[in-house]
Amino acid sequence: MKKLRISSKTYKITSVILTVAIVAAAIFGIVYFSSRNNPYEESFIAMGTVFSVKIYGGDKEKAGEQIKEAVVKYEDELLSKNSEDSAIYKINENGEGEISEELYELMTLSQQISADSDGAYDMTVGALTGLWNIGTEDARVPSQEELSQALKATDYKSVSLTETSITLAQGQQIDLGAIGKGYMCDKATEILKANGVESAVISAGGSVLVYGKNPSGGEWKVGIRDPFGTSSDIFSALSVEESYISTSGDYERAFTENGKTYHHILNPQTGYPADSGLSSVTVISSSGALSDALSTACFVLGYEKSLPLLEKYGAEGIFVTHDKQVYVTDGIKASVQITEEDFTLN
Amino acid sequence: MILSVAAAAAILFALMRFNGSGVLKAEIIVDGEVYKTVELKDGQSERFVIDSTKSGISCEILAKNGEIQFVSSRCRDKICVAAGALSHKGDTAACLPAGVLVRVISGEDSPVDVIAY
Repeated sequence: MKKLRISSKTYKITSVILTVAIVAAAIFGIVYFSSRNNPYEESFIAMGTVFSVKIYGGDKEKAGEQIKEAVVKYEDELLSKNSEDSAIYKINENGEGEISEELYELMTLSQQISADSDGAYDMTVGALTGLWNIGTEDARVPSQEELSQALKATDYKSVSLTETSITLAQGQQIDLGAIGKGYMCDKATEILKANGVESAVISAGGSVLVYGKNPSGGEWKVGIRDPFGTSSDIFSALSVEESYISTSGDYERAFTENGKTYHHILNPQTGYPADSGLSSVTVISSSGALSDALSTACFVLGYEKSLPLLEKYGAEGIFVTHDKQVYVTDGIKASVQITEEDFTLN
Repeated sequence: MILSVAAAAAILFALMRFNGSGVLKAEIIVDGEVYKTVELKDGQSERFVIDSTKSGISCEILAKNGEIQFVSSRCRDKICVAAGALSHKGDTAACLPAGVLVRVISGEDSPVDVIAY
């Protein structure tokens, strides 16, 4: 049998060609798979907060663009109490108005949570929020007389709501700020589904949606902000499957006058920033609007009074007191990991 | 042949290692438009004074030693300044009254997928 002989020159040429081919194939593979696996990412300011979207799989670019468009549209045309084109602005101006099916559903949920929380959450808090103006350059402490007037108009029970219309009581103002960002997480879910998205993280200030499976494997890890630290500091990590998570805290929006700091979560019964001994509340549930409104209600109610409310809606909660005591409802106790030593899990 | 394959492996390793995540970068977004993309690195100290024409509120951002943060703002509540330094991919801070947003767009991932704040 005759042996095949390869010359040194041929060997070198073959080596070079093979190496180039391997490298080219590998580069192509890396570029192809990383562009396929890289998420679509976008951040923008809307609804008085920062929205961040991170989307994997499906038509991720289209989904991301549609979410941004939807947030702007819903803010301008439906939810904003400052935009002259919005349904809420017009209702507040006229004391009444026709409402869409979507607004009826959102207001019905609002009214239900108001009733179940004994008014700790109240969508008619607009007269009060308009006086305080917290989060704007015009924030101020209102006079007692102004607060008394606004408190008379703050009562969800005096709203007349039908499937097609709403009528407000004298001086009453609707403010959906405590439910709107969570509601946009619900809308984002519809858009993600329609575009065949596999996984996504949508963050709208205190309201978060983790959608689908975590592309890194395992459960989603949601950091809960340290109420006493900076915006990047967390005190615990929550491991969850697809969920809606909302946090309300006294650090979010606030201003200081004469040495006293006033935060933005108003107690609809007193007219002042809520003081139930809590620095933050995080609520986890199956709906963004629900999590958002419940976190506000629980912040106003305090830990003990919040428990029946959460139970009624099948939601879970994480409560942080001013002295860094952490209380967690039973359903998620095993999923919460305290990451900062000076917080105590009870 | 062995040397060639080793060289190819080294190139691939470098490509995979630095594929989009090696360099720490942040974007400064003013009134919805990217105003500046800043590379964040050790030994750096770069200041950006932003005068938003839309809001009329100015603020100052400092990129220093691999971090970026608002250091001052003419806004009332200074929540942007209290947000502190950003250094992980996905970190964001904003001065809402000024309409200025800072976000870290590449670099080391945060230990969590998202922060509820």
